Amino acid sequence: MPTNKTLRSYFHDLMNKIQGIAVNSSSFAYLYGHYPNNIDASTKDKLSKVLKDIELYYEKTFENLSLTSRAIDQSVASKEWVSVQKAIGKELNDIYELLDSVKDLSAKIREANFKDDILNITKEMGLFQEKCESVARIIDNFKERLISLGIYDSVHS
Amino acid sequence: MTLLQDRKGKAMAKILIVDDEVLITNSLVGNLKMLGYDICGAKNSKEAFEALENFRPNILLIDINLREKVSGFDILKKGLELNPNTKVAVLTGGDYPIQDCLKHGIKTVIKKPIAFEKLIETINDLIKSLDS
Repeated sequence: MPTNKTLRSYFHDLMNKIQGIAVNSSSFAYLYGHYPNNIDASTKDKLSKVLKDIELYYEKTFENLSLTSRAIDQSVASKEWVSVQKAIGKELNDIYELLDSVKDLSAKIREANFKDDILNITKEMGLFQEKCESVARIIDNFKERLISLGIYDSVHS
Repeated sequence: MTLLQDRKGKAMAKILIVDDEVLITNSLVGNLKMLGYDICGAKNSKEAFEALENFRPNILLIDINLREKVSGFDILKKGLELNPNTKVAVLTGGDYPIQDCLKHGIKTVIKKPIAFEKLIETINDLIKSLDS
């Protein structure tokens, strides 16, 4: 469905989805990495929910990236966007691999080593943040370019 | 800060977080409650204004760009009217230049994507400043 949105709005939405990945992963890393005493039988359910939420936000990030791309393709910045989109795609691919690795670890949690295995997962969860920040930096740099071109607040459908 | 002081600080702080991404707001509220913070979430300006009246927060964490006519700055203004001692941090995806926030008297800006640990540090700093 066509929408009348500014590029600012597209990037706001895109950043919110990246934020969903960052908040969910860094919250789990903090709550159980800094406070191992919080780890109990319910932690596995919490981990499962967090992984589902990260996956959901990952998918939403791609959807928003695609919508953003469609909007920029109609602008004078379309050629420059190709390499930017590629760079974002690379970071998102790393995030996907990280998610796969955490899912793998979560499937192998041992009853006898429950706490250690969860702590190991919190360390992996901490790695999402850096990747999300890399995406944000790429977007920030491109936003500067859009502002200088005078099209950041122009409407695209 | 000792654990006792930490709990005392948390008890006196009432935090309102305003962000239009509802799943993120819910996740932050749930996780911060787990750590003992008294926190309430709002996903739009209507909920935020209601919370300002009923929950009476003294710490505001606000996303400036709410994708509606009312901006986070309007909520901030109302919050300061109701309680001039309210401490504020702005959450931004970089949509608004930091200079805009400074112009509105906001000294604390947290850039998205927010790391939970950074958010906790910021909240604890705001709690400390409630005393001063």
